[in-house]
Amino acid sequence: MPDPKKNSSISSFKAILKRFGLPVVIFFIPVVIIATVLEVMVGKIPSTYSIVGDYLNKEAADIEVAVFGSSQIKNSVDASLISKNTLNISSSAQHHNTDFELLKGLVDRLPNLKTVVFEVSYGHFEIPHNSKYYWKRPVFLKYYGINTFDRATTPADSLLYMSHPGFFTKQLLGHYVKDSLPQFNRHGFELNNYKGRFKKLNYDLQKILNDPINISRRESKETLAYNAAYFKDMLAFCNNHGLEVVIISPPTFANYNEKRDQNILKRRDSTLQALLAAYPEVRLLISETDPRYMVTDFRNGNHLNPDGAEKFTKQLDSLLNTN
Amino acid sequence: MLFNSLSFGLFLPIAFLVYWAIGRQNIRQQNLVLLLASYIFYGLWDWRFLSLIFASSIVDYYVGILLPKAQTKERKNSILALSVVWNLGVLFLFKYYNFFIAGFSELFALNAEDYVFSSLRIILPVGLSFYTFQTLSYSIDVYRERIKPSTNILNFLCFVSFFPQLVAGPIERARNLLPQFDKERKFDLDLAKDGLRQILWGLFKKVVVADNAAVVVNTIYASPEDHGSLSLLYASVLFFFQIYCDFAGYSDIAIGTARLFGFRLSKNFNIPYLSRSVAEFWQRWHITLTKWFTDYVYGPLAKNSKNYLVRTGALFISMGLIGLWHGANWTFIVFGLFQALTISIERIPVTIKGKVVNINYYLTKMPLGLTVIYSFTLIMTSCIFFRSENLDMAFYIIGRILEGVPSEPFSLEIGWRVLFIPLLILMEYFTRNQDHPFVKIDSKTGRVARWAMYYLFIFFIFRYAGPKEEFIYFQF
Repeated sequence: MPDPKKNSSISSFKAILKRFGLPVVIFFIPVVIIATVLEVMVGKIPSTYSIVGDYLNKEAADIEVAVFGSSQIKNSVDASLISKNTLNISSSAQHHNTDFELLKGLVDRLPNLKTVVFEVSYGHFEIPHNSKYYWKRPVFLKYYGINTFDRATTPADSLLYMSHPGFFTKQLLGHYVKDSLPQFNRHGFELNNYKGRFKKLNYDLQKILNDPINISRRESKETLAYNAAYFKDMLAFCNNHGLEVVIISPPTFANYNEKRDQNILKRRDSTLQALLAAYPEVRLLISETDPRYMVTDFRNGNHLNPDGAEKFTKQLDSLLNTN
Repeated sequence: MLFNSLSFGLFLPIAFLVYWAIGRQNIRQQNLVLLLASYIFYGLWDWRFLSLIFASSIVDYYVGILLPKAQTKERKNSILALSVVWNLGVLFLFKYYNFFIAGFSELFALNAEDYVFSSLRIILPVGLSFYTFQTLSYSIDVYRERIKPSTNILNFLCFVSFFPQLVAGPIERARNLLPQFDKERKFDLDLAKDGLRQILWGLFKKVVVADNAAVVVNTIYASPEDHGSLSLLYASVLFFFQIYCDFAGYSDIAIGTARLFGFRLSKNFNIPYLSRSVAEFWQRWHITLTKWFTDYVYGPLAKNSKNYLVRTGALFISMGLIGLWHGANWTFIVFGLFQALTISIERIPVTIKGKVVNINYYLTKMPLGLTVIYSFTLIMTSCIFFRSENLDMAFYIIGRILEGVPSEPFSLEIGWRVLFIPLLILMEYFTRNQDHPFVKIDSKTGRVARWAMYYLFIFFIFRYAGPKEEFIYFQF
C-alpha cells in the first residue's frame, strides 16, 4: 500500500485526467482493440446457436414444432428430417428452467407453433436446474433475441466473448487456428459429429463396457419435488397456450443403462405417470433401452452420433405425424 | 452487478469520472455522487431491496442520534434493542426463517401443511449479512460510547451502502469507514494506481484460480460416489483455494475500487493457508468477520476470563454463529463448530515444569511446513462440510477419502491450469508482508516491464478464465 505520509494528491480534475486517466486509457487501448477484434471474430464463427438463430429469424412464421433439451437432444434430433417445420433449440446442459424461459420468449413469435418437445431423460428430475451456464444468456440474446437475464438488458449484454473468455478463446482457436470446424445443416445439426469415446475405443464392445462413464447417481427427493412441480408448470403453460406436448428420452447404450440408479429411474417413471394422469394428452417417446440402436449409433453412452440421430428423429417424426 | 462483468467495467470508469469531476468541489457533492453510484450499483441487481438498505440505514442512524440523548440505562438499552431487533429480525426473516421453520416442523414431526407458519418463498437480498452487521456494529459502538454518532444522514447512508464493499464486505466498522465520509477526499495518484493493481490481482484470483478450481470441485462433488479417495481429496484441496480466491479476490477488487475513490478499506485476508494453527487461521481468514464476532459475541461472553471452560463455551457459541452466518444449513454450523473444537483443543492448558503452555505454543516452535500441513488438513476437512449439500454427503466424502478407494482414472480435470495455484502461492508467499503482490512493483521495475506484467495477467484473465461463477459469498 502506498505510504500515506507521501503526498501524491492531485486537486485539479484536468491533472487527474492527465496524470492518471490518460496513462490508463493508453494502457487499455490495446486491450479494448483486441477484445473488439475477438468479439467480431467470435461473432463470425458458425455455431449451432448462430445457425438456429438464423433459422428462427427466417422461418418463425412457419415453425410448427419446437424441440428443447440438453446435449442429448441436440445430438439426437436432426430437425431437417422432421416433415413439419421444426426448430431444435436445445443446447449442452440445458435444463427445464432454460427450456421454459426460451419457450416463453418464443411463444409469441411463432404463430404456427403447435407442438413442443421436452426432454425427460433418466436423471432429469433429480439433477438440479443449473445456473452456472449463465454465460449462455448473451448467446440467447444475440442469436435468438430472447432475454433470459431476468432484467432489462443493455447492448453490452449481447457481447459474447466477454461473457466467457475461456470458452470462446477455445472456439476461436478451434475455428481459426486448428480449422476444426464442424459441419452444420440449416437447422444447426452437426453432421460430422462422430467423435467420442466409442469411436476412440473403435466401437469395441468389451472395451466400452469396461470403460468408466460419467453418470449422475445422486438421489435427491427435494430436487425431484421441485423439478417435477416446475415441469408441471411448464405443461400447464403449454396447455394454456394450446400447445401439444411430447416428452422424449433418446436411446442410451448398455454401459450407461446398467449404471443407472434404479431408485432414480423408478421415481422418474412414476413422476411421469403422475404428470400423464394430470395431462393425458401428453405423449411419450422413451427410447432409452430400444434394442434397435447399435453401438455404432452412439458417440458415447448417452449421446447418439448422426447415424443414431437419423433413426431417432424418424421415430420422433412418426410420432409427430400420428394423431 | 458482478465485479467480473463488463457492466462493472463500464460502470466503474463512469462513476470514477463523475465522482472526481463533479464531486471534487466539496464533501457533500462527493458523497452524493457516491450514494447515487452505490444505489445504482445495488439497484441494478434488484431495485426493490434498495428500500431495505434505506430502511436499515434510517433505523440505525436515528438509533445513533437517540442513544446519547437517553437519560437512563433502561432507555439506552431499549433504544439499542430497537437496532438489534430490526437488524437481526430482517436477517432472520430473509435468511433463517425457512431453516428454523423446517427444523421446528421436523423436530415435532409436523407436516409443512399442518403447521401454521408455512415456509416463505423469498429470495435473500444480496449483501444482507454484510450490511446488517455493519449497521448493527455502529449502533453497539455508539451505545458503548466508542464512537460518536453520525449527525449527517448523507454520510451515514454512504457508509451503509458504499458500493465497493456493499455486497460482500469487508465488513467495515464505523470508526474506520465513517470518518472517511466526513473528510474531503483528494485524488491520490499512488493510491489510485495501487487500487488498479489490486483490482487486477483480485480478478486473477477470482477468474483464473477460483473459477478453474470450481470446475474440478463441481465435477467431483456432483457425484462423489463415482470418484475415489485421491480425486475427492484433490477436489477438497481445490475447494479451499476456490473459496479463498473467490472471496479474497472479491475483497481485493473491493479494496482496490475503494482506493480509486480515495478510501482505505480494512484488510480481509492475510494468506490464510500459511497459518500455523486453526486459531491463527481465523486471524488471517475473513478478518473483518472474525473481529466482528470477537468484539460483539466472544468478548462479551468470555469477559476477559482466564477460565478455560468459560472461554471454550464462548468460543463454541461464537464459531457456531460464524458458521450460521454463512448460511441457513447444518453444514455451515458444523463447519463452525468443527473449527471451535480444534481451536479449543489447541488451547488446552498444560503445566510443564511449572509453566502453563498449550498446543499453540508448540506449533509456533515447529517448522512452518509441518504446522501448515497440520492446520491445512483441519481447515480442508471443515471445508468439506462447507461445500457439501448436507451432513450426510459431508460424512460420506470424508469416509470415502479415509477408505482409500482407488481413483481410476485420476484426472486433474483442468489439466495444467492447476499450476495457477502454485503460482498464486509463490507470488503471495514472496510478497507476504504486503497487501498484494503488485504493491512495490513501481520501485522495482520500469514502466515497460511493469506494463508487460500487467498485460500478462490480463492475458491470463482473458485466455484462461474458468466458466463464469457467481461470487460464493454473494449468497451469504
